[in-house]
Amino acid sequence: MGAKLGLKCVVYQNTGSWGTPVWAAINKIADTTVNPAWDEAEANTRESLIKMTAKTQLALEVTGRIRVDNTDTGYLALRDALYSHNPIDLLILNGPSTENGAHGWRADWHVFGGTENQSLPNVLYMEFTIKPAPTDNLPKKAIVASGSPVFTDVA
Amino acid sequence: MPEARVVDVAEAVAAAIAAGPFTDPPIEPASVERVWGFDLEGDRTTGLRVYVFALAYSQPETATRSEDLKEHKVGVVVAERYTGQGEPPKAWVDARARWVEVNVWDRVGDVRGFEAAGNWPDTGDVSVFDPQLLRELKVFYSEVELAFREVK
Repeated sequence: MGAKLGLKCVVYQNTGSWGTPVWAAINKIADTTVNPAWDEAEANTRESLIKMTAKTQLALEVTGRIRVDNTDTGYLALRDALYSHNPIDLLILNGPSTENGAHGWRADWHVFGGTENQSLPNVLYMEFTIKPAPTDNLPKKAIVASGSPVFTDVA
Repeated sequence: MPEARVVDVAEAVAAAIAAGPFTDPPIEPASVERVWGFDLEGDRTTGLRVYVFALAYSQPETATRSEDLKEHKVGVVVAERYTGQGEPPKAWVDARARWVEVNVWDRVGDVRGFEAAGNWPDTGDVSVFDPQLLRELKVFYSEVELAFREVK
């Protein structure tokens, strides 16, 4: 198998419901960086002189860039989520949703940042930061199996 | 049959130049055409001629997961043979240099007002004249190279 490319990673927007999702690729996305990071808590005992650390909660943040295009539904959905309190249901995978083994995350995300560098020679992009929002739909791991994504809790 | 993208861009550049108006200075070109070549020494026709040609294209970077940033380079040559006696007068050359600036550089190099087949002008260079051609052939010869970009 050849190298996996960032170019082939995909961010999907759910245009259906949480229970019956309809995934539409957001094609104007340029880059994404997925940053899962566990919080740590010291868990030392007198049993060992070696420090031990427990995992507590998983901070999940995704940053990325999308080309500004006021006719693109994917861009508009991210922009509208930035300018409101409404979360957006996104599936972020490191491959197409039909490629077995591709994996990532699904959540109702809040869009927290929307930096747009308007320097003279630039093609405009919105740099965004998203994090899971507190909704009834808990964030899930996603892995593609048998040609479609399967969602499970982080435990 | 569809043309190469860079040819589409060159055609749009030629059409924009040909559309005029030619009031500053008031010199109507004898021809404005997209070409693959021209014969500067053998062509004895007179009048100001504009040759537009495709030069190169490239992909400087990927723009998004579905699009690339593409660059198309177009060349424009403005040439005119001086038919008077003696050396071309300074004012005659000045007027041709001004013509290139107004009718090529300002018109199709204007990122705020011009697009060539969906491409915006990005960078450009002008060679104002060729001293050797002016001296030996009495031909004013100016080259403009423009790079246009699009996300597609």
